[in-house]
Amino acid sequence: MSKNGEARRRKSAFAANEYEREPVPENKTKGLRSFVGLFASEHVAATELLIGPLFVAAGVSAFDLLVGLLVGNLLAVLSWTLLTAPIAVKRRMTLYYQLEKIGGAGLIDVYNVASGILWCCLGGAFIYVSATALFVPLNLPEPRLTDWGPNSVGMVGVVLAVGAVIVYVAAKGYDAVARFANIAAPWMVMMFMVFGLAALPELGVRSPSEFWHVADTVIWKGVAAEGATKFTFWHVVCFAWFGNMAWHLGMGDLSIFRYARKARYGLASAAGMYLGHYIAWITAGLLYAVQLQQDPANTSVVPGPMASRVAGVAGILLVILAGWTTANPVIYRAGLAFQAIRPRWSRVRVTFAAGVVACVVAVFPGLCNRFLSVAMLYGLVLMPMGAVIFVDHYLMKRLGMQEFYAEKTGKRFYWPPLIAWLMSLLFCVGLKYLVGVQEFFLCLPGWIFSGVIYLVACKMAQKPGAGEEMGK
Amino acid sequence: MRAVAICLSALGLIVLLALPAMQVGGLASAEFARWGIRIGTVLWFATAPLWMRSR
Repeated sequence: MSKNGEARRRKSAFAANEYEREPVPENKTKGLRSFVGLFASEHVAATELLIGPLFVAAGVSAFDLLVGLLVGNLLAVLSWTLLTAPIAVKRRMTLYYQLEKIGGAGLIDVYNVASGILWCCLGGAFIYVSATALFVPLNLPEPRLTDWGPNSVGMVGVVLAVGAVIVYVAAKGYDAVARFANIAAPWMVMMFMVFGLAALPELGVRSPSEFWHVADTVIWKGVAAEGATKFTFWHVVCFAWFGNMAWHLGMGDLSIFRYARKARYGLASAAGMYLGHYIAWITAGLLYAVQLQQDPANTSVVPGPMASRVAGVAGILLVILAGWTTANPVIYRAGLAFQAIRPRWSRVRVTFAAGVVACVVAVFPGLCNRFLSVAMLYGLVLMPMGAVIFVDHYLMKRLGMQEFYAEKTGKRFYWPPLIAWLMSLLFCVGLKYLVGVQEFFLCLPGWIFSGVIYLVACKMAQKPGAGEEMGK
Repeated sequence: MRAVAICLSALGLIVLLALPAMQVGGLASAEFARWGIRIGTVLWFATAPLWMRSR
């Protein structure tokens, strides 16, 4: 999942730090192939090694998984193509610049704090995945699926040691790692396919005709592990659709698609969805099935030992690289988000501080054992701002109101976006805890609610004629 | 030189994928497939930096 190809992105033509406060010029736009390559590489990452096994642990059936992922990923691709890319191509601005124009610089500070905290949690998950590769040579006990805390001093030591290296590199500059990530990306994509091919014979598949029977009776048996939420077809559809919600409906990928010549380049996201969120999730699930077949009592979701069982040293290498090359840029981004609030703070020190938080998070395997919920939470927290951008772009003028109101009135803080954000989150919390709606189904109602609240709040806040003078 | 490096990289990925695929078809043993993964990995990382850096 995840948007963890920041390293690749940072070194690519899609530099996030260019044209930060101006539209991307037409002559700097990119062709379709650039977007296909970018999405294909950045959506095959460390977290796929958690998500695939967690689907198996959630007791999803073979049909629900294979068809649900097809449908959910299609909906994600359509969200990028029909909602994110058209706004990006029309405005050619980053998410941050558009939010600043809508809600003022104060809103960006709040957004940076929220995204910085989430980057730290995501960075912690990547550090944990990378560290699990060392569980095999060091013969450390694997945390159980129900564990929240560390199960040995050795585990804490390994996670902190791996985290320290990753954080040091992130703080001091990780250009060499980013270059290496570029080189490793095609190999990593192939290795996920290798996982599947190497796992199938272990599970008893010797020909394509045997696959469905084994899938249904051995791999995705439809029985949830102890402590896991039972997944249905609709859970799978919603997870695949909203797993990257912060980037499509949440508009995070405005920063990428502002470089697109045409809005239909949003279809390039299919490369990432079907390689990373279809093939990689399925093959990672096969690794877990092999583990369960060898020892049905071992329900631990620990990527290092799982990969090692099927692909040996190369599997361990993949887990280290997938975790490391994605943790570095994520921690770097967390540092940047916090530093943006107070530009005088040292970027290196802030990155170290963010890294320390990520390391502490990584020590707790509970975060990764519940990664399906964590991924949903990530989308939930940031998606209301996507609805605000969508409404501001398409509806404000039509309803006789001003778009980019903070910019036009010179406000540092325009309150309707923040009210929409907070009320949307409260609405989702209420749905979960008062009505009992699971987190996997909250994203779309929350997004729509945020847009409606923003419209109503703008109607109350905007003064007729305000901003028109300045706008002229 | 660049062309040779690209060919060897491609060969690495083919070996990486082909030998495990042969295992599925019953044409190779698990140990043979593991060797394919190792050789393919070494070939890729030994040759890809030679041409990917100069892109």
